[in-house]
Amino acid sequence: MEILKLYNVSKSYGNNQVLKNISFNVNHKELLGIMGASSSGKTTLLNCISTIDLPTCGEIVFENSNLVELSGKEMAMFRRKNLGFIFQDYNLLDILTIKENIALALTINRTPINIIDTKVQEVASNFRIEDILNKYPYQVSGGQKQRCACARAIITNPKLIFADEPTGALDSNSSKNLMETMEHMVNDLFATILMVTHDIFVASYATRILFLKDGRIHYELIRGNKSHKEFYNEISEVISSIGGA
Amino acid sequence: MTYIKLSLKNIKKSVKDYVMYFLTMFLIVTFIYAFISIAISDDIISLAQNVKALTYVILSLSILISFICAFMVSHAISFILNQRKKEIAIYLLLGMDRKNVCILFFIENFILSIISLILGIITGNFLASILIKVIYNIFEIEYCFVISFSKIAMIITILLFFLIYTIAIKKAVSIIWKEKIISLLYDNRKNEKLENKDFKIIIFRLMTGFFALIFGIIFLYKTAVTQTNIAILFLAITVFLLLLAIYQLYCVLPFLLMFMMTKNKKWYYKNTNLFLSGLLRRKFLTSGKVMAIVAVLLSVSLAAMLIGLIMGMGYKVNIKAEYPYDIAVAIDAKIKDFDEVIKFVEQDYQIKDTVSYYLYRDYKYNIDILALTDYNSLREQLGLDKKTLNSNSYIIHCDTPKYLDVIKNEIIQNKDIVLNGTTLHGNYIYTEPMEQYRMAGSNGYVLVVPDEIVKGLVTNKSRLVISLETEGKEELRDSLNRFIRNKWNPEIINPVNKNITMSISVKAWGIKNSLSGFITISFSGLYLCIIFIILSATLLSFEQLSSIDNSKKSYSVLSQLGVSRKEQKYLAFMESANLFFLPMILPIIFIIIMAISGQYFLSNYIISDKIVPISLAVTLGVFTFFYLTYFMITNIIYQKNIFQG
Repeated sequence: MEILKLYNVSKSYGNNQVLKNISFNVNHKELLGIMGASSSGKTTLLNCISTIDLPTCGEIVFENSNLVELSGKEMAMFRRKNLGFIFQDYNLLDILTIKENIALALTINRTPINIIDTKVQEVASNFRIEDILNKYPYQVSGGQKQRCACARAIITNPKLIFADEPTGALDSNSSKNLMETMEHMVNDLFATILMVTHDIFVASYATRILFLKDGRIHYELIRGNKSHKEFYNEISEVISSIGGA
Repeated sequence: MTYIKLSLKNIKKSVKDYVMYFLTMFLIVTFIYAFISIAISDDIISLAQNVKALTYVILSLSILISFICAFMVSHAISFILNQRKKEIAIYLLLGMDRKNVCILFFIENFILSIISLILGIITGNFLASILIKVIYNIFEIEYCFVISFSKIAMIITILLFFLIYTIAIKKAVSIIWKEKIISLLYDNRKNEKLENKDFKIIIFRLMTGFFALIFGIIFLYKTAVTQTNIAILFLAITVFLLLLAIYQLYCVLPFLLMFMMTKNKKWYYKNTNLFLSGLLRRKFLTSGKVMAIVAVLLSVSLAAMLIGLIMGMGYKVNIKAEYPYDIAVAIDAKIKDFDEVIKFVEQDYQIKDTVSYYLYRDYKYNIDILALTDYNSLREQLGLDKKTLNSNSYIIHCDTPKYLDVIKNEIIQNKDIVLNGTTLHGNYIYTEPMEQYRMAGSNGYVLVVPDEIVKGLVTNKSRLVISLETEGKEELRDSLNRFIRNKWNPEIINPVNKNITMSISVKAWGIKNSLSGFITISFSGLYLCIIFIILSATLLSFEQLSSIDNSKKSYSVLSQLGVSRKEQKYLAFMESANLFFLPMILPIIFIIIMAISGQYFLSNYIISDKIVPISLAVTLGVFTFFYLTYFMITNIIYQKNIFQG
């Protein structure tokens, strides 16, 4: 089932056209990866879909509503109700404890007060961060921070989660753990994730990958029943052919 | 590119960082110039002989204020440098000499400081003219509003300005000179570490604050009821205890608020309150001490202004009671007559009426006694009606409210007195101002008896009251004083003591010099208060603006979580509001309690009961104006920086 459709989305900054007539769909319960070299338009695409930025032309349709036509207030409401975010630098609030960071997503969504603590405990247990709930972000490791960011992203049951280079600040072991966590989010918690990455290992966890080059979708890979290793090799080949990610 | 060109570009680029710095420098210069200008103004000095006290007090305060301002301005300069550490690091990386970086920063800072100095002097000049007009109004003298420029005030202001600037710029130089490039480059990446304070310390502060408050109130009461000099010691202890209480309670208050917020789940988990509580927690932990210091500064400044206004205005309303007679001479001995004194006054002034009389004493009673005829003569001088008495009754005249209740009780209890073998019954109490401490009695009251009663009593004081056809001159007091002490040789009939006490009071001199007291005390309080409010608000403003980098990141996360810009602006407003308004709660409660106590205790000394409420309203009005201005400007700059782009 498709939850997001892009029709001929373009984005220009002055005379520089970063995205050129991009069209694709995002299906429910998939981990869609977007890869491409620097300046290929990956982050711009993610910003446009997540309503952080507006496309110059084209349509971004999310469950029958065109996001491009929403007002500022409606966009904020849309993000609140439907989207979750995981960023390279975690974007956790240093002023709040891990528990408060996760609970904030719920309070902003006006979740009934009596179930907030229970939900936070539940999701913390899912992401193995129960022991650090009362700590501040600067008191925990990068991997723990990113798991907290995942917990915050999923706790409101968003229809779509955006992950922008989620393993960018992690070591290889933490990256592996995080990707397993994201797999768990898709397979067991029924999340849909749109992930931008340039890391082939990370991309090998995706169910489908779109390759961007010079602002256009250059290639599409579907994992299907391939193993991580097979998919990893396939991604490597595509990247070599398009000149890097 | 020359340094000046680069500096001008930097000023343009960093205009947001410089707004508060410029505003503070401008206001400091404006007030220092205006107050020095009035303190040394010939128009003001010529108003009364002891108005020079204003000059000394204002000049001394200006020096003190300059040193305090220097540290505040150095704080402001540090803030600006912190915002631009990366830029400085890049200059150094590009090979610019540290000395040249210092020169660059000095030039741009100096350009702005000179502009604030010039604008401050221009505005200060205008303000000084308004203040001079206000002082003339207080003296009830016509004054034609003229904006006059004072060279001396300008020179003193410039000297003080450079004193402030030199101390402040030293800090900037030391930062640029000593900081390593790496720490300049990556300094803004540091996170604010929020560590919870030790619970034991919180309890200790709470307990000391609470006890200091209780004992402060006890000593305040003791100060108010003590009539001896030990009251000054009690007052000092009161001030120390209350300021300690405010400081300690302010160090604890944020934690109590945080505790209450987190315990109230209904509030805590409502919408973005979780985020707000996080912001406040950061603010309390990083700026808690600054808030406590500001609370103490505000308490001192508001109290200084309130006390200054009450005392000053009290002086003014009490003037008529203090100086009811045009000329009054008091000699604590029986003398034959005051003829030579009257002749001396007649040389320069046309006399309307004179009353010379004696005060008597019966050693059974510790009270001065006045014959009815003399009493009525004095009343006549003051335009009051004459009183009559039965041969066996007495009147108490008391214009000092604090004794009235006691005297009334005595009379109600039908306390009779026996004088010269006659028993006299209490009759009436009259309270019109008659200068009861020197002229018509002593200790604040006098016993008025029928003329025949005083005949057998000891005469121990002689008094002369003169009313003039035209108002006397201030200088008469000095010339009369010289005459009485050096030239006059009165015939003393019955010397009571070896050393005879004399006093002279001239209404014209008294009024002018009481008004000088009024303006000295009130204007000093006002000066100190305004500068302290500006400094407190500046401190808070920079505290808020220094968190822009961290807040920017926090609010962008909030944006991603779907919080609308309107809600974010509300949160930013609440953040600034908490920082500014929390430290003013106790100081305002403190001065309201002071005002209520003042109204209660001073009612015995100050004739008008409107003085305390008016003083409180003026104090709060001035405070609100400056504090709100700073709060609003800070909030605008803060929001512009956070939500720009």
